[in-house]
Amino acid sequence: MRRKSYEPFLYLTPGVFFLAFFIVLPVLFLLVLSFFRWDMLSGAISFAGLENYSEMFKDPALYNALKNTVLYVAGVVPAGMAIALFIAVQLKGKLRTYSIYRTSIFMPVIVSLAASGVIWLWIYDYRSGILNHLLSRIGISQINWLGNPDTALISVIIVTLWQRIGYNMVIFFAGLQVIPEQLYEAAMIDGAKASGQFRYVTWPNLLPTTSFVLVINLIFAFRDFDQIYVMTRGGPMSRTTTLVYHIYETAFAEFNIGMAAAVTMILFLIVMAVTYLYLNYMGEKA
Amino acid sequence: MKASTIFKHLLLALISTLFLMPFVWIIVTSLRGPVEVLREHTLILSRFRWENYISAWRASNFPRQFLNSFVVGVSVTLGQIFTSALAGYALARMEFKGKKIVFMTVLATLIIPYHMLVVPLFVMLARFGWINTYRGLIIPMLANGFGIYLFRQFFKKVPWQLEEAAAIDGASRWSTLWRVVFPQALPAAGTLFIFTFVAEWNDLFRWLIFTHSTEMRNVQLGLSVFQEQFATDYVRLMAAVVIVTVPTFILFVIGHKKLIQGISLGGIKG
Repeated sequence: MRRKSYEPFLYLTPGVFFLAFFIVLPVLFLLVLSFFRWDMLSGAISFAGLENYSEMFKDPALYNALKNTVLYVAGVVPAGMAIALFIAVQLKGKLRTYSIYRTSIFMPVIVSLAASGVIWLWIYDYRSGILNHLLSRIGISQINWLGNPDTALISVIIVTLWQRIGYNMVIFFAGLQVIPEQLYEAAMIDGAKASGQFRYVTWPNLLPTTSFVLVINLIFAFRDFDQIYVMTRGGPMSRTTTLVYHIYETAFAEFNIGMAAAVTMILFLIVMAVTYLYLNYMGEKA
Repeated sequence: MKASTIFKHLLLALISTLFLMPFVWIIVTSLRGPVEVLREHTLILSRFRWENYISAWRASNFPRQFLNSFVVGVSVTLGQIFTSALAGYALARMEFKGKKIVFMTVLATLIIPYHMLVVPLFVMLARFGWINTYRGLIIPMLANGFGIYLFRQFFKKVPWQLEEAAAIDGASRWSTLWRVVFPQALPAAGTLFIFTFVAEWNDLFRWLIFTHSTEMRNVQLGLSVFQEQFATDYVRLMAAVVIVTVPTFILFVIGHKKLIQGISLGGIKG
């Protein structure tokens, strides 16, 4: 194949242009802002050097948000991927009943969190929620799911899982579709049972998809905001305040945009470092 | 049927029910009476009040909001598939200097929370005079790192022999991409279509910031008429949620079916 050296850039240009102009440029602007003090209320802007950063690291709220973020990511990513992969493998095929299952599991993605959040608030409600109602029938006393500092985060994690499993399932499903059927036939001739098929055919051939789902899930988990906003507003006692929610509060409740930009940069560095280390470790396979 | 098959279906049916429960609740609530909704906390309905749907439909300017959501949603979705397939192909199949940096930058664009990005973006769009226009809602969204990354992953799995065969037949790189490689990654394109359209359809925040006239509202902003400052009209809100969810539901059901049929007809050859 004859290769022209400029050819890759022709293919990259449309996508990269829009990303550069409407994301990279604004991010650079945020980076500059992180060195300024900008009071949104009075509109006063002044150069602050590294003050936002040094102040941020002195603030215990940052460490609380970091801790919550780590717990949230650990609760959402592995479980969300494992369950989605399990379901996708089970639902491979053309059976009509399968499409009913697939649609049901994808429904949480279709309904916006703003709407389903209201329903989850009712489900979790302390006095009249259906969850406590069901639990009381089997003799478990009422739990204030979203109001108790010990159960609030896990309650939000469950809502995220409920939404993300369908999302991941569809990506896994697409990945499973492009694995050639002959590989399964060959494995069956060699006498591989379901577990062997998964181990020797599905898993290695699905690796680019699995790696994609992992990276995307990590990024999403660090960025999740809507479910926290709808369900707990970061409470109780800031136990569901993740980094993103902390950024939101700093920017739009305290109107400290410079500081919020500085925390955004920290969030960015953490996620970027994790992603880079993972992809570097995986090398060409991923 | 074997016992294991029955167990599998039971398990899947149970999981599906759990996933569907909140949506069933939305539908039940949408059919309740105004007093009943505050008292009744089970799924039992005294009467199906379908008139709630008519009342909800009339309360907001839904025809216009559907139009806005459709125009923006379809433009953004098609745009993203086009730019993503091109860039994803370059990252999966071409060698060039700085490839790793470009790839990591593409991933980096996914990390920044949108409500922070909106601050500088608003300043930019205001400068261009794009606030409250289709342009301002569509053009900044025409590329997305998610799509580029997705296509890169799927193109990497397409056998090289297919491309080489096309090259021997004298096909250009451009036509090889669209006629040979892209069809092999159709599940990725279908997935991206569904995800992007659903995300656009459900987007509230961007419209809230970048539009201000009632004519430029989308369906999600349209729901806000049921959420007054001090009280939420839950019954009509849920009826409206169901109305607004119909298009994305149909898209998923049809799109997913087509995807499965298309692949088994075309056949993926390894």
